[in-house]
Amino acid sequence: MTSRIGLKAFLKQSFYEVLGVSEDADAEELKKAYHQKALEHHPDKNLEDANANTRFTRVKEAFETLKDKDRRAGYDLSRTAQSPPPTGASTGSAYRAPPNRPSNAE
Amino acid sequence: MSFGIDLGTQSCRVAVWQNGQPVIVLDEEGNRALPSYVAFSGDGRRFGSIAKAQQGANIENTVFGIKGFLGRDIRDTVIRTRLSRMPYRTSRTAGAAVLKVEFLGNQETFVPEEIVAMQLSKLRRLVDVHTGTQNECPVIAVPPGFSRHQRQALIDACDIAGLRTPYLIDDTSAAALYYAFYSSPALPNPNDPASVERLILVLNMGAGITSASIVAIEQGLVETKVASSNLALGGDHFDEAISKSLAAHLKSKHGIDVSDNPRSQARLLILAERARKELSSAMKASIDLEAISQDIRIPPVTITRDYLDGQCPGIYDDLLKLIKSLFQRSAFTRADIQEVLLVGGTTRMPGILSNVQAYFSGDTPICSVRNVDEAVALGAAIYGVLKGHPEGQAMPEKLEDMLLMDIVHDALGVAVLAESVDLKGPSTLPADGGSFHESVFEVVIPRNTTFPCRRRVDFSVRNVGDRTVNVQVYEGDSKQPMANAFLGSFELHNIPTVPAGSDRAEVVVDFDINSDHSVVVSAKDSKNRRRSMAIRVGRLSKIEKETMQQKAERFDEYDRMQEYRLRRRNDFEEYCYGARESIERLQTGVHECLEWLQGEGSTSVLDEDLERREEGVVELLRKALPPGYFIGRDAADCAPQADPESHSQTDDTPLYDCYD
Repeated sequence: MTSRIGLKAFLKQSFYEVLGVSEDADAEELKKAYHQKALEHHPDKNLEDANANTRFTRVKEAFETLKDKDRRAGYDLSRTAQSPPPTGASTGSAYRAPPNRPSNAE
Repeated sequence: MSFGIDLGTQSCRVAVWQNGQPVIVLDEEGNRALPSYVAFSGDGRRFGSIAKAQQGANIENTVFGIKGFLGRDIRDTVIRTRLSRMPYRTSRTAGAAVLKVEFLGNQETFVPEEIVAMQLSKLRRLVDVHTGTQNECPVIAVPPGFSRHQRQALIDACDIAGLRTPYLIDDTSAAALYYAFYSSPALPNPNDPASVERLILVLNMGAGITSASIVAIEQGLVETKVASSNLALGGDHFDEAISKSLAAHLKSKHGIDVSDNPRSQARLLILAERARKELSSAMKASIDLEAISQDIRIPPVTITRDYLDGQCPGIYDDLLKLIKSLFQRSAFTRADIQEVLLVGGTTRMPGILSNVQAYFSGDTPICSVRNVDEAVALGAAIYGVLKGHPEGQAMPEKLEDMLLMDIVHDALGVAVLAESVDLKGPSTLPADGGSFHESVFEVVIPRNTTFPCRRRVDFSVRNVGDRTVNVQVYEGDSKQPMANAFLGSFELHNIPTVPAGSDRAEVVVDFDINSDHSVVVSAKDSKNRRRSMAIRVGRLSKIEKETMQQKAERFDEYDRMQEYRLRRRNDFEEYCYGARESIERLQTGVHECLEWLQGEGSTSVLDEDLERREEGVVELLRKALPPGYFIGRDAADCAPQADPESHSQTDDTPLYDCYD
């Protein structure tokens, strides 16, 4: 198993860091990174780790935010708007829902 | 250890992981599938092909097609009609179907969960015999369209059968997992089309239910994108259509009315099924109707493929409708699909293949696996290993990079006040459960969301009274809460008001879906006071399940005793035949010796001649009376024991040892 950082530090990472991609990563790179990180963090691949759910959820949230052009722009904006620590933690809660409400018509 | 089960409407298959691959477990007769029949009689239960074969003689006490009633509400007219058409006796209590059978001289009633538990126990015993170990962690494949109630009913059946930590997997996902296991190269290779992401439509058509899903496969990573089922579409619709036309033929040509004869109807259904399967490889099939009537000789009828297609054109329409529903429920189009994977016995029918091919206009390759019937069970067995069974062992190398990412099929959400929806800001939660006529369904987790996942949504509180909210959780696609499935509700009281301009919400609701598909909903107010609820939709109480489990154990024990008696009887029979043969041989030997003594042996006697013959007779005598049968053994050694572990040992001990 790869050596991993603690849960707290993991949740503080920016979405780019979570996926291990650069800030100009394109759609193809994002998907590759998502698949790789899913294999690393999915609870089925970490049967002993009670935090795997949380880690995987974070990976998924990072991918879903960055693959959507508008949400990625909003996320980038929110990072620069705050006086940013270089590691770029923006969300107090790991799971804040996106500003647009999910709806049936997705 | 775990084992994978494909619990079909018409037949079941079970697979285990062995020597680096999943393998199908055979039943006692060497069949690769166990028909989903349970027969009750005065001397015990029969399963599988034996139960199916004796159906005609025991029509009221042979139960089949139970999967369709599992977790279904009997108030549903479709379910009620289907139940009333079954040849076994049924009734209903508290919204659920009940089956009445005569068993061991008593009238017994069983709910569908108990019947399925019996089937699961039977499959588990087959696996135990196959592996020589105890196995209690099943992975059961279910149609993606199974509701939470149907899934819970299956989990309840596992509880009743004494099976621990069951996992459910969508049958199309299991098939995709098996396909990825065999079709993906060991190492990524950009030149190999199998190592880049492929979008595949999986179609699993069984006897009673058809499911379809779109999955992305990249190497060992299987990601379900969208899935759907038609719970009333399958091969047995063809069978019903054929048997109906056979009944009409019998009536008009031979004056035989089978409409009030369940035995003949069941017989016709089996003949129809056989003919339909024959038509998958042959252009025409002959149906022998002789067994229908003892009075008249009925000539066989021949049906052709065209006739079969003509009987049920609606089935192909329904199939294409199911495939199209995947595109409606997602952003994919027909052109995105790179391959179509067909699994399930019914996809062998040429009509299915040609209709799917025509729909995809021939450009998309239609693939299959070697044995279409077994892909689901084999995939479920793979999933069992991925879920960490057998415990404490390293993951097989081939599975190290395999992962299934599955999705929720229906949206999950809460009821909110209709008046608040179009306003800016968060919707308002109702204050009590009685306000559903003015509420609408607000989605928190949209369908097709990969789980595990967590979503949080802010809500406001109606500014009257004691500031209470009622969080009502629903699952479904309708804007009307009542048209969706109700999963549970809870209240949060004395919610503090939030000062204007504050960025805190009055109430935030979190939905958590864990990796085992279970849902926890929690709500908290601005002071972080929190209440949560784990969704449980089970119909049976813990006490009911415990009673059923005890009953099931008693019947299993009875079956074990019966099996033991049967084995002992057969062993004794074999022993007697052996004894008779030895005695005959002894008789011949003694007779020969006497003849020799009175003839040649009466005059000149050589020592060595005499010695040889003496030894021969002694040897025959010794063989004729072997000290095996119950000599030198305690009766207790032979009796079966209640403890299953020591029981499996007596299985291997031969009853008749030779002590020479």
